[in-house]
Amino acid sequence: MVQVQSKKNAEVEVSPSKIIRRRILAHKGIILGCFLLLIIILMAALAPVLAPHDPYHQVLLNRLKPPFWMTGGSWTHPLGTDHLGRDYLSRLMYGAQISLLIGLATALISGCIGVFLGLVAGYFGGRIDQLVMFLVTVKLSVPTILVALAVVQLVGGSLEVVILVLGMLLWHQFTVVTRSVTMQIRDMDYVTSARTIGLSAMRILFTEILPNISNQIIVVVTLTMASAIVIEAALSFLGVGIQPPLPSWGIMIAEGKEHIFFRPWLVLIPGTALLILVLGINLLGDGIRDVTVPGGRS
Amino acid sequence: MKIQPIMKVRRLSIDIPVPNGVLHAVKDVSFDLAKGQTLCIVGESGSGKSMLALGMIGLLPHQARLFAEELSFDGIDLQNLSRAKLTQIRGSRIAMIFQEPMTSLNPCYTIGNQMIEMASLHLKMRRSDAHDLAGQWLEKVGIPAASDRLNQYPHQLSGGLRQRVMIAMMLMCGPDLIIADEPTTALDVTIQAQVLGVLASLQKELGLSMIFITHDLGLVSRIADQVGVMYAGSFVEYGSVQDVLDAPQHPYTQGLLKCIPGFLERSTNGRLGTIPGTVPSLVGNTVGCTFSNRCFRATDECFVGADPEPKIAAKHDVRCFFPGPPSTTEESDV
Amino acid sequence: MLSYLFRRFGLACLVALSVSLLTFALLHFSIDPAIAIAGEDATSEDIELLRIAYGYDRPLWIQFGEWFLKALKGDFGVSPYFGLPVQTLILDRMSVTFTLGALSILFAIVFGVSLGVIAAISPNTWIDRISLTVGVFGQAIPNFWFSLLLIIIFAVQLQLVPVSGSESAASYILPTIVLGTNAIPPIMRLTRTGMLDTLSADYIRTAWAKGLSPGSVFFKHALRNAIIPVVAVSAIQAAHLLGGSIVVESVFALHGLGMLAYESILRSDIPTMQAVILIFSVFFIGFSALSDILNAYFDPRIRIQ
Repeated sequence: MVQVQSKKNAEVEVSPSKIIRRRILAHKGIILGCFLLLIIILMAALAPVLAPHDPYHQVLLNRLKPPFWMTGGSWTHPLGTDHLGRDYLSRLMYGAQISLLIGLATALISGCIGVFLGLVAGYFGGRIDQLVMFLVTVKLSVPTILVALAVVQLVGGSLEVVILVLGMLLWHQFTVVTRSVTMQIRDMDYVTSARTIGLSAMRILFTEILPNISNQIIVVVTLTMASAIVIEAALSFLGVGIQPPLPSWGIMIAEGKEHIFFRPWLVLIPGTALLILVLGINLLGDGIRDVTVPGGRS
Repeated sequence: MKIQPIMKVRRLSIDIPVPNGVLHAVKDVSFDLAKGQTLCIVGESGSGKSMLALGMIGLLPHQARLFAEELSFDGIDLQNLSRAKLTQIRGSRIAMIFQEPMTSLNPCYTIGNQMIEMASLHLKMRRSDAHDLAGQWLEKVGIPAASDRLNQYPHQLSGGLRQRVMIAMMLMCGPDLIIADEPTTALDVTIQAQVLGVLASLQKELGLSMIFITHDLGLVSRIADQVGVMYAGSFVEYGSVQDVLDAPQHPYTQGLLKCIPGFLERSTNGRLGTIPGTVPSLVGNTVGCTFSNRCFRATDECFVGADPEPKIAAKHDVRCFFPGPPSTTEESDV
Repeated sequence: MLSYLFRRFGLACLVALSVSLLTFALLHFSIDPAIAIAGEDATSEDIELLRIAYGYDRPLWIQFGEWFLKALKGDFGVSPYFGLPVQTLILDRMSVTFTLGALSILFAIVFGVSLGVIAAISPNTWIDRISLTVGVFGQAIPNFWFSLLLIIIFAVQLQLVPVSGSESAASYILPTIVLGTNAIPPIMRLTRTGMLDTLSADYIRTAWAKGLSPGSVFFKHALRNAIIPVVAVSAIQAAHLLGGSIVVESVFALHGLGMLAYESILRSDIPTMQAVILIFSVFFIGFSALSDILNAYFDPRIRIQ
């Protein structure tokens, strides 16, 4: 008669989403990224409510006032004023709206183009796949910022043009990711069974494949957003694209460039905001990628 | 006159901190290895055999902690040796061969380059002399067209050839002890025999001592002088191969032997034996004998106190409260 | 290996052709080149005359064919803004961009690989965290702002280096740091990951068992394997640097190809723009091909077939 005394650990069933949620909360990068991103989002969302002044309102007598922590500064203009006397804090907050808008809209457009091409290439394979991959190679060989600069300048700079042009220049990562996952899933059993019960190719693509790529797509969305925001800021900085008096952070930095010798904050403040936004997005994207890798990574 | 054993190990333990405690990979292992002899360490996966081997030459992962009452090689205390001196001993006095020949050689360098490296380092040879030595050793392990092979890359050789290259590479500097961690497990059966043949003849020719790790008891009976049966980190039975295999005293050893067709007398119903249950977790401390949850003749006393200390039974060491010959009535139809 | 080279080269040429065709079409659809030259105030008759004189009335593919064939010989036409042959402009400016590019990629490789190796040798220690932080920041900071930041710190406050211009060697220091820093994170991360993976490989365990010194294990055995993807990435990063040079050269007033690109775009100087885009693309394609070829060369499993 054998007494089995071994202690057996109680097997706890943990669902995948709970695992991911746990990992997310434990991942410092994601927490920090979310925090930074939240700062900028709040700035943008609360601009109409909290901005102390109209960002376009020029008071030339008040020009180039320093922020409140320097001598000569005051709380009426907490971050000082620019060369036309406009309140810097207000411009900064409305600038956040522009940056976030650019990021999201570009990601949306390039996402649609890229995911579509990726699905088609991955699912149908063969010649279509070769064609799409050739397009990707060509796209990768195009110097993005150069073409963006050229086209936006020639067509005429505005918010809509910038979004459209960037949307058509940043789709390749979506395609690559979507294609590879589609190829993996295409050959799996449950897609084959979907086909055997007569579902059309498109339907299969949407219902079976899209949910499986959502994790990686989110990561690519963050990367694309960050790229779009930085490229737009660079375009504005170079005087191409969004035109003044819109308070794009790039424009603010460009306008502040003339004064970096004696009033460096004009450049440092919008630049720091830009850095915070991009850093936040990158940390979030990296963190999501770490966390959704099967098996997890610390 | 007692000759000093070439390898002397007393109560060697290896602990590894893990997120939920401390994993006792090796617990109180002791053995002596005489010069020119072969010790086989047998055990299933996860029994700690590889850890033991790596621990002896200081190649454990850096979180692992090793402590032993004694760990000496040819009179040298390996435990307290400086890193530099230990590095010197590796390759020149103690050699180690691993299980996976396909991945154990650097894919970016030629065979010759990797062998010459050994000779330059340990024997301080000139490149041309080392090259010649490498060629001689390749022939010694039965690889023809040595000079061509030296210029080839590992991926151009089959598994069996790669393992022979490993043997040549590790032995070319004249070590006294070779530790082989399942060197033939990943090879085809016919190649296994060839590689084992090479090892055996080299051992005889060079008077090598060998510690051979395996899970194959059949192999043990053919090549070992001594055998240590390892379970959950400790030697549950240890002694000369005749003593242990002819008269196994520990229920685990007996169970293992029953799993092999033709070994022990099988049970009356003619079935191949199995050992029910699974290896307990090595994390934390167990109560009672570690094998108790799977032992067919465990009594109440086996579940309390500490692991049994080794005692002599049938002329060899056994860790069991009630060592004894296999009974014919137990049967594991449970 | 030779057949691989041929195929790779053929692909590169095809891509180059497509890129130039694409950009040609893009530019000509973005703006009417005749208006670009004539200016917006010109009369429509003048514009028409210009159009015929320059041949902009012909079918697009003929225009492209003519341009491309001439471009192959290095004749890119004349810049309406500068009044000089585009070829002259390019040749003048090339050396600046090359110097900057070479210095930057060298900077990135030296620091990126070193940080990556250090981080991998002692993972999860403070050294590792510092290099990861450097990586995260290096990737996030916009290069035009970083340029201004460095100017503020080093040129204005500390007065260590000149603010702009390309007269002296010192004027390359800040631009190199800016461009290089953008390229460090991918190189560093790949080195670190590659080293960590390699260090856990069986053949590294063999190397330790052979009694090799740590230097030999880390650098001769591990890095040689880990560096393979890094080489490829470095080539790609070199190509990205070219894009970055547009902004950086403009901020630091270095008269290189990047600044030429910027100036030509501002002035709607289409012949120059086309030429610069083609050159940038060719370099990009060239670097990609180079990186693939280097990859193949370093991995003996591909080389010997």
